[in-house]
Amino acid sequence: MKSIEQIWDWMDRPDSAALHALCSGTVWMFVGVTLGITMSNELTSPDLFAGIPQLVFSRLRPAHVNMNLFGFLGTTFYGGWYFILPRLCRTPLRTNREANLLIVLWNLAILAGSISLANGGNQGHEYGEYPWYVNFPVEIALIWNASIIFRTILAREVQKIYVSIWYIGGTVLWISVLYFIGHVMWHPFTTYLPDGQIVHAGATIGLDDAVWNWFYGHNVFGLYITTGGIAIVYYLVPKIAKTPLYSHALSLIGFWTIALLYAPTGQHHLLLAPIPNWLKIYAIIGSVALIVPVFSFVTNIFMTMSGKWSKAIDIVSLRFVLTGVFFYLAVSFQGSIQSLMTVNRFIHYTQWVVGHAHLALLGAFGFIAAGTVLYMIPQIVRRPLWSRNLADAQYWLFLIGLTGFFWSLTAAGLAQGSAWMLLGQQVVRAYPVVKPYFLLRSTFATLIYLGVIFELINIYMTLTTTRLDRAYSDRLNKAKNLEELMPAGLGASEL
Amino acid sequence: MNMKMSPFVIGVGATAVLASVVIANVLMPAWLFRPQPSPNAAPYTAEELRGRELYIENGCLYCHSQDTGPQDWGMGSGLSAEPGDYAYDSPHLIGSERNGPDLMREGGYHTDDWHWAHFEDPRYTRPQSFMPSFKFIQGKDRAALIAYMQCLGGKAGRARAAEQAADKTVLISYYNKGVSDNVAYLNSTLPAEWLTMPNPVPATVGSIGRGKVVYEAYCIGCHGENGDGRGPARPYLNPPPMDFTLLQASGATPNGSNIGHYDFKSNKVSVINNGAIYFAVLYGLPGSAMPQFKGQLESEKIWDVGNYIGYTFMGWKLEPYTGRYDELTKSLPAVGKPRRSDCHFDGAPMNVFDRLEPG
Ligand code: HEM
Ligand code: HEM
Repeated sequence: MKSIEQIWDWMDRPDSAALHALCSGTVWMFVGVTLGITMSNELTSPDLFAGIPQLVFSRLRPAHVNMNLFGFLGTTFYGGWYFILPRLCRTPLRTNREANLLIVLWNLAILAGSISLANGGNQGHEYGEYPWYVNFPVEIALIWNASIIFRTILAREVQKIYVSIWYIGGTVLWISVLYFIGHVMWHPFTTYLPDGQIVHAGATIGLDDAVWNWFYGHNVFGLYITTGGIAIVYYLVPKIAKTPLYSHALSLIGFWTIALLYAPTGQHHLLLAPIPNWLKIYAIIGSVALIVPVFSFVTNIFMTMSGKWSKAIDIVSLRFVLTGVFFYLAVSFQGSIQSLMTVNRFIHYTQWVVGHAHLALLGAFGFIAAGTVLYMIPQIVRRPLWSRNLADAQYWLFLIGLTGFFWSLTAAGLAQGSAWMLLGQQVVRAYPVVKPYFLLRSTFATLIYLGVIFELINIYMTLTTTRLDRAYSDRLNKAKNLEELMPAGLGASEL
Repeated sequence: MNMKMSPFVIGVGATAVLASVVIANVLMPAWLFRPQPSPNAAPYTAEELRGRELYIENGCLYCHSQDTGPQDWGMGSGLSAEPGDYAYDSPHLIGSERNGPDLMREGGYHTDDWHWAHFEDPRYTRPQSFMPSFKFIQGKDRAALIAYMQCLGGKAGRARAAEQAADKTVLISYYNKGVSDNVAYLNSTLPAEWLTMPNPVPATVGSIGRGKVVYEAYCIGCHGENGDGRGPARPYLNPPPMDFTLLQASGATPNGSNIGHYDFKSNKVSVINNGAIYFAVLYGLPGSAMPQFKGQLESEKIWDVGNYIGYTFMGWKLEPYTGRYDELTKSLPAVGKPRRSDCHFDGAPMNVFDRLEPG
């Protein structure tokens, strides 16, 4: 039994919080994708777990979604930020011990939330499903995280603040506010109104409730996952490619426009609902104008790579990240187009949207998260990745799996849209139509699942194996302080 | 461009940008947009609210929207959702996907016993469905969930549901009187012209073959493989599904030419012709679990399934193909006639969707 002192010491080690967050994220990915596979098979064989309430499709679904958003992407990105910040600020995280405790709290909250959702504890807001007893720990963790991040930034020993830090700083503030709004946290208990109505915990009334819900719903992708992931890309790409960032001006444009334009787009999820037209128009304009931050970011990254693309072939983690950036471009472009009224009428309520969601979260940010983990964990434990071939195989499994996954759902969505909108058929007529696409999705998802297992094995072996590349570990062990691990190529002008 | 990004600029700037959007996008609507309850909206009862909670707990909202639009044919009497319809909803349950049908106007489109069977196993009432079984919701809870289903659609939905419940007691009493009285009563609920309606689609091999596909996709869960009303849904339904085989002795032809033989007093086994079947499939039999299929099956498919039932379970005779379609091509020289035999049962043009997608 370790004494408490030993535990504190263990938690104080530099990069330990980053390591623990990255590992937790990887485990959540595995669990989240396991739920996804289960659900996917339930859609094709609906009686798979018939009669087991905790395993019914519609209870697993919110558990899957929240676990992947907050558990997999959220936790992985925390790890990435905890890794990046000390290096860019040239000062230790303030403090590793706190960040470690935070990760424990965060993991427990996600575990509790998932168990609660599987048992029916659901607030009924899409993406805002966690019940109030999970929301409070999560909100505390979010605010605590913001404080860790900002204390580290304030204690920095470099004057200039690199782009990644802008994004991290913005993200931790935004999500703290958004989470509070999205879960209607000032309203944690059910109340009874005089005319016999109840106002459900974590909800307001009528269409307003829908407006609040989707304001949050879209911003959890836009101002949490997207900006959190972009922060890491801005660090990893110049760092791994050993080249300065292409343009400071593009970074500035991207940063300020993303907040201004992403935030109001939530109502594009309600384009068919009877909300006021001005809200719809506001959302559509924002959605189309998002091309500006998206293009400025993607251009910046791709121009940074110009002349260095061969590195993306050699280095798996870089390849993961850059493929993620490509998918980000694709999904955002798709997003802008599907927010147009004519397009949305056709694809709304169909599987097309599920395809879009996975292209974004699994394609763009799942790839970025995988690249982050594969790059950072070896750096932290100062040991090369256990198997490069396994990582390579994972890459191709992800790529083929995701592409097939996306296209089968897109096709299913188009088939549904045609049946409903062109042929005037009721939804029930589309059941036999979508079934083959669901089978295809399950097949491609199996490839992704295999990739996830490969990553899990690779990371586990990297952490535990003793087979070391001598030269590599010597070099890493000689680097006494963090400064020597500073990203090569991030010259003073880029910081 | 040279903007100095300090922690202050980032922290305050980022917060200010978000705050401005929160004001415009969240607070302003909350302040400006307060729809009054629409004439159709009505508050929920305690039982309905319990059902609504179960709807949320079990995640029904992930597959069912509650947002009927003008594009939704034949649902909710063509009403589109209006802001005031949601006035009593907390949380809103608009949803974002339609793996299953929109439920905004569900009230009264099915009877309670249909719902009971459907929650036990959706395949009982809809063989093609991929909705999960909710058989773990039992007793009072399932009743509450059904009460919630029946209140959807506001006042109109509740009125439909009340009508169904009233019809049900009458239907049960006739069912208990025996099959002849029962069918006689059911026939009396249909418009008289339909009872003697000549069958416009001859009961040919082709029609019967197509009807079988429809029967297996839509009817088999209740009426059963053998048409005897002993499908898996039967134990939950009262009155139980029609046993077509009981109607066999009548010897009716598909054209209903025997309709005059029916005699209420002698308790002779009753006759239904394809017109009666058509009408029942189109609009359902209110009060029974037999739902309406008017938004789901095209006209010819309904005649086809009637022919299948009549031929397979009720002893109708096969009819020769009358060549109605050929008449259209009468003026063409014989060699120019399209050859259809290779891809059709009997030369009748087949809707392409018949083959791609049963039902
Ligand atoms: C092999 C991996 C995966 C499989 C098989 C899978 C499967 C599914 C299924 C079956 C649904 C429900 C769709 C429906 O309601 O019709 C779903 C929804 C969702 N999943 Fe996944 N999933 C996987 C990985 C992921 C990952 C890694 C993420 C995020 C990082 C993710 C995020 C989501 C989201 C956000 C939704 C909700 C989509 C919407 O509301 O439109 N999934 N997933
Ligand atoms: C320019 C950027 C983007 C635009 C304009 C956009 C637009 C949209 C629109 C209009 C929908 C709703 C479709 C419908 O229900 O009819 C949607 C859904 C969705 N988007 Fe995007 N999108 C963009 C980028 C992204 C990114 C980067 C992510 C993830 C980080 C993302 C994640 C999602 C998810 C998860 C959904 C499914 C929501 C649900 O119904 O549950 N999108 N997007």
